[in-house]
Amino acid sequence: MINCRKYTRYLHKSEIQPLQWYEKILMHYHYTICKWCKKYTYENEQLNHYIHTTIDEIMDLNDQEIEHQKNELLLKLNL
Amino acid sequence: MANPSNDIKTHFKDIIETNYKKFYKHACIQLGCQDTAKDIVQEAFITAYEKLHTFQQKSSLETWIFGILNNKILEHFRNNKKSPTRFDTEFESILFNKNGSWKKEWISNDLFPIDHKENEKETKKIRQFLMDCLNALKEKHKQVVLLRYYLNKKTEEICEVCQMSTDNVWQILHRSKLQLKICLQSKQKSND
Repeated sequence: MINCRKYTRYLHKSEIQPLQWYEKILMHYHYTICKWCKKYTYENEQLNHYIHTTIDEIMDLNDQEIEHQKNELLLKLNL
Repeated sequence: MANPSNDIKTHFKDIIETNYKKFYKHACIQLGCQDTAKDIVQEAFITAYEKLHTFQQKSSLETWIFGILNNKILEHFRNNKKSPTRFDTEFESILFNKNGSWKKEWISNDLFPIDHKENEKETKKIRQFLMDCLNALKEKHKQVVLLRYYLNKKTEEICEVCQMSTDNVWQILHRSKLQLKICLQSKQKSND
């Protein structure tokens, strides 16, 4: 039986590497009985989504300027 | 500088053509300044081109260049030493009780409201909070978070670019996610 702290560790670890079979079982069991961790799991998914979409949304990059920079670099490298 | 073969030159040029924007955007986020980002991205490509003969094909050429860019970014931070105030606390002890359960005050109902898509103003506010909180992460932590969740890099690539083990990567992500939760929720509370 794991607690919420351990659950969040497993949750974040599972986004980077496959968990051991017993870790998966412990995590799954905790998820089924803990409504706060269910909530956090949803929140975590939303956070991942927001990180992915926010940056493009907030950053106002000028495509023409980027194209200009790219050409400048190709010229410097003689490519 | 050894003269690279035509094949690798073409490949290098293709990488500039297809990835320049992605690399530049990554540098902008990390550095918070478009002019500095431009200088550093160009410097990274030039350094990579000059050292092309040392590329050992252990990873893809793109990953190798991206690694050089990340080193340049960290070098810039080291040279300028202007890190904003960082959290450097034990985030678990902030969020959890001694028995490992969530502390009541951190159980959130509305960190990301379900109806956010219909609520443009609310979404905009959350996005701005998130940017501020991402910028409050330590440089190395921010780098790992962005590689994983913004650029969707695989674990092996993150380890390669940041030169750290898988265990280090997930521990950094764990700390960063907890810090982001604390930061976002605190901002929301103070905004209410």
